Amino acid sequence: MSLFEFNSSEIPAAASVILSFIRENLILSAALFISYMLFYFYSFINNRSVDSEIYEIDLISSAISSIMVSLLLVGLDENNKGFSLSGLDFSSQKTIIALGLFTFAVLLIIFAFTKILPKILVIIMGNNEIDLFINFVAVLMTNEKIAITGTLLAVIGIPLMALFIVQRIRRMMR
Amino acid sequence: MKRKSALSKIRRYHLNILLTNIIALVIANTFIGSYRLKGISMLPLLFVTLSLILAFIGISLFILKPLGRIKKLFPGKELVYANIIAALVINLMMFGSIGISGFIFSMLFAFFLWESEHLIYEGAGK
Repeated sequence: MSLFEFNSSEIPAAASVILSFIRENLILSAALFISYMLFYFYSFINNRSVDSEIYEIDLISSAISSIMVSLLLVGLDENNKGFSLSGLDFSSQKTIIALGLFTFAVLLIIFAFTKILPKILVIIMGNNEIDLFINFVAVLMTNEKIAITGTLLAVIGIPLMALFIVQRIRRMMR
Repeated sequence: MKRKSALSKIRRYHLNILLTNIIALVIANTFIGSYRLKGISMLPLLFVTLSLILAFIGISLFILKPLGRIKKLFPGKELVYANIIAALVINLMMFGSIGISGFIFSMLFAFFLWESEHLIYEGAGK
């Protein structure tokens, strides 16, 4: 199954993959989820402030973390154990995702400095949910036993998308 | 006059920087664990990260100086201490799987990400 294939019958298996990863990396997963819970608790209480604080600068910080993650992914590739550009294997899923992330990061930086994006796209591309999605998928990729499929991405991405939409609706209703 | 408690002074900006630190530590630790399993050296990554830190801080000094905000090169000391303590705690707990080079890389990587986030906010006039 590829990155773009989704099979609803695979959802329990995908959820089980995520849960077993969390169990194997309990300390790191706890640190990650506790810190996000604190952040969303703050956002829930201070509902009025959040949207006004999403600027183009959030795009730059997302871009920097995406660039660093793409660098780490390139170094992790089986055929390029290190950081030799000449050793890049463009057929490897890790390399493709790393290059995609790098391109995404470059676009974010361009948009941040040119300020050509409408506000709604700045909010969509600079929000924490996309950042968490990218980072969580990247850490899953460090485990060779985990296959990144469309179903797995949906299991991670759909709750985050729902969280993003709920926050926006709360802001609009205020 | 009522003194503001430290908690009431917390802003989204502070939480963003703390969150960036934690995410960076999680990313660094999981990648380092995988690198060590595959026998990949951390030295090139250490070098790249250190170079990026120095370059970013150097560029920021040029941007912040004319704006008169050079004293804000680092965030407030409470936030710096919180980030360093969080990094030390997590990295020491993971020391067995990341080793000394991984420990140093993780500290530098997390510092680079949260400090660059602070400098971006500072340069943009938060």
